[in-house]
Amino acid sequence: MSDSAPALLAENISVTFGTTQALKGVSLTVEKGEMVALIGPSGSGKSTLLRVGAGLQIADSSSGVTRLFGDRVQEAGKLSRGVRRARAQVGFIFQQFNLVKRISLYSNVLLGALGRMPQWKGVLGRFSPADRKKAMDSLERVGIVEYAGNRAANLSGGQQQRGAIARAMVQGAKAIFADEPIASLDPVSARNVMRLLSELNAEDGITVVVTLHQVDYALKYCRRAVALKAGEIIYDGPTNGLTRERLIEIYGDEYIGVMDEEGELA
Amino acid sequence: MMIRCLARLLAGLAVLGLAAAASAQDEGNRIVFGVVATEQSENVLALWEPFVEDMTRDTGYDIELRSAGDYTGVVEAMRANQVHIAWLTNRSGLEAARRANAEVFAKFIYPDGQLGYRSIIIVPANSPLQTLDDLLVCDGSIDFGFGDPLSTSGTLVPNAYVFSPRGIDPQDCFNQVTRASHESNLLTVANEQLDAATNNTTNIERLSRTRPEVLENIRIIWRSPLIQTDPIMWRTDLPAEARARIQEFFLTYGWRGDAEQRAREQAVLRELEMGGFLPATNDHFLPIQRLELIDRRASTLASIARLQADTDMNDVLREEELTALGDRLAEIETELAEVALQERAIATQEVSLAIESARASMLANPGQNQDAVSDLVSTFLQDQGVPPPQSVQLMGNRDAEADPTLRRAFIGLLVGLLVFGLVLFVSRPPRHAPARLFTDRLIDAVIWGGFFGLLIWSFWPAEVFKFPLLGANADRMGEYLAGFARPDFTEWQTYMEQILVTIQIALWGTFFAVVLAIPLGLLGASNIAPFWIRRPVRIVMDGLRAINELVVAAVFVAAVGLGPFAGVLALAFHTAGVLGKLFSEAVESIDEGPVEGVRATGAGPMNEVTWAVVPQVIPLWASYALYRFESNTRSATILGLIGAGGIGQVLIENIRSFEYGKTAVIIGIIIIAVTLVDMLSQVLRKRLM
Repeated sequence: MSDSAPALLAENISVTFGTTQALKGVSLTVEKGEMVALIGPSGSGKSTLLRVGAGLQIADSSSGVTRLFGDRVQEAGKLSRGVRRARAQVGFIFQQFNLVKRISLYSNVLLGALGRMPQWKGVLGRFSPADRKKAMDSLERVGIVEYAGNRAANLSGGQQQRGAIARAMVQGAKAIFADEPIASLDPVSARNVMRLLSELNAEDGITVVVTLHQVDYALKYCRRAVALKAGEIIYDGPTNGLTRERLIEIYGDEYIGVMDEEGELA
Repeated sequence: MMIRCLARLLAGLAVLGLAAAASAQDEGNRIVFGVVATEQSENVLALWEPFVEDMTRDTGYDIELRSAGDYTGVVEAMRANQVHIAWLTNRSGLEAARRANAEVFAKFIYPDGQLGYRSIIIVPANSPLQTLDDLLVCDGSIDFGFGDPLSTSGTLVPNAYVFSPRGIDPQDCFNQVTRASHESNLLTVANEQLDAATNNTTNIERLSRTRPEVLENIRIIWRSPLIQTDPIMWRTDLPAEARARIQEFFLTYGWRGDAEQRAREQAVLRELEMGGFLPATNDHFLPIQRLELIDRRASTLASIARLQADTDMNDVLREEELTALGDRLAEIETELAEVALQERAIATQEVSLAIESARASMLANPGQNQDAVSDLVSTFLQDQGVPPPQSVQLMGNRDAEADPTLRRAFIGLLVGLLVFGLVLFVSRPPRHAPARLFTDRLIDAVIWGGFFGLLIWSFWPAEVFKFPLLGANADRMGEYLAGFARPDFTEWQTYMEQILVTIQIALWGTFFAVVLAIPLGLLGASNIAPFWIRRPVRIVMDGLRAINELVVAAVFVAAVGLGPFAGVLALAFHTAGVLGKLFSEAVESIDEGPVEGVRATGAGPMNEVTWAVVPQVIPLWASYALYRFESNTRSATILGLIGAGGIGQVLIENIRSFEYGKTAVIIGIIIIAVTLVDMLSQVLRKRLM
């Protein structure tokens, strides 16, 4: 838990679903303050890797250790005892937002405080005034405070995703793991969400790891990219190193046609 | 032997009584009078009310009236000292004497002075059957109807006086043997749906008042000896002073004070179909003990016959068992002889008193009918002349043909295989269509073949072959239903009060059920609880669901006494099982996303449940709970059977006494109430979604 511990340390991670191997002994380190894009075709294992990092997915028993800011999340296929404390340091953003639809946006954001309070207080909903203020401030900052009283179900996708980010802020997260955060959003909402993540990274020093389908977003907002293919890391370096040849290697030969139709990238 | 048993029994009861006396005295001035709502009246509570008021005034005790539609409720309540005096049937009374620390202190007489009623066998008016011998030809051509299995006049007496002494097993003798209530037996015979059935004289008298036209369609071919009227019993630990005052009240009621008071009290008694009370003791149960002994003898004889027929058995073993059974038989015969002796003594005493008074009245009114004494004597002689038991008759005339169940199972199997082949053949993929896996087609064929095979197999046991009767006898159904077409609104206010009680029972029952079902539903869900918690919780829920409300209610009667609260608890436990299952299915079908969202913040499992699971399932849970509230309103009507009160009790009592006009009104009120509850809950559910 020294200050120099990396935000995410994952060693030799393998994950098997039935007979298919989603990750084949992958290792990844993300330093504090970085903004990293995880790219790769569907089924390459990038989401699985992120979920292993947050302890939402348990890795195979052959795997090594996973740590967040030096706190152990899991090792050799077993969640660590302190997984809740480790998780509380990282906000997780989902493609489908995963807000609780039937309670208000404000309540959803407040849930970020659950990790820091005794369970019984959480069950009774006894959040502290400080947390309540923090929730309203976060909603203000992500720009949707006027919808605070609305049920999450009644908000647009972009608003829900910003709510999820506000929840991570109430959580006091030192890092945000975003799993396809903009895949279900319209272009304007997508840009707003990516800007918000980038701003939190730049201004608050929050580490961001984001899996993306759109390569152009990765190039625009991230300095480092990690590319996976069939459960293995095949590129880890600066985003400007993603040349035409590399992208073809990552996404396969058919990507040539995509690039030709949409115009050369980078 | 019998006397010794009885003496021992009473001694035991007395010891228990002493032990319980202290607790009984704590009750202070309150005495609970329990009555069984048999077929005697259409609203037992209302009819007993004036009697109980008089009893409270005259004895100085605070008498509380409680009723149940089923005797087990009253007996159990009496055993648990929740009921102190009770009006029971002969059979339940014997049970109370054995189990509930109770003894007989009085019996009632009928308004016309009769000391009992008689079991009868009826046939359609135009039936060729004229005598008992015509009925007992045993050529398998006759359909016969018994009463409910425990019914004294419907089953036990005919068995003890007609079938058992002649060594006849009704199952072998008749084409078909059915069991139904007296009321439906009467109607079925009147409609010529049954060739003969049991019944009793009280029922016939009642029918002659309510639906005399039905009587014209039936004829009586056999009458049993007199069956004693129902006993009035008390717990033996009732204080002596209370017993004295209560017995005095019963024995004088209707026959004391001036003419005006007598007339008033007689009117109360007449409503109860009584004419007064006579003193009695546990000797009252002698006839019913005889019935039991005859029953035991029959089953012992059957065991002996079975043993003799069993060729696979080791001879030594067989001899041993036969000796044991022979001893038991001899014992039963001795006891029977003793009972008969005692019965004869009592009957002689009674008849001599009756003859004496009849002679006195003949002397006093020389002008009136002079046959009273001859009638008494001939009835007495008939009662004594029960045919002697015949020697063991071995299993006869049965199973000439092969066991039909096997043949039927075989036909079912055949049809199943046929359908299996057909489905397999028809499901060949046509040309220009995607191929289907052969195993998929095979599974389809097995499912359809199995389904049709089971249908055919169940055809005979479910008696589906009677379907054509539905059309052929539509007019008879119409006749029956016509009884409902003359609604009788005289007591609608009572019904409204009772339906409210029913809804109130359902409300509390459902509330407790929801409180229980929430933890059960969460702990039974596969996405919340690990296997070793989930499994036992589900077994508990299955158990709660499987046990009938009536059974649960009977258990609670022991703790909380007869009345609505036992019904509330019964509904609560049964419904908790149902709701628990529905709740856990709702939990299993939630969107896991929000749960993961909450988990990712570092929240603990309790918080995942409260913040991510519960908000998702609340609308479904509420909707299920409201639905169960509706169905509990219906179920609460059934609980009237065990005296849980409410409209159900009134309904059952009316059906049992042929009051179809009133039944129609009650059913109408129940339908309206359930519909209203349904509408209300729909509005609520819409708001919740």
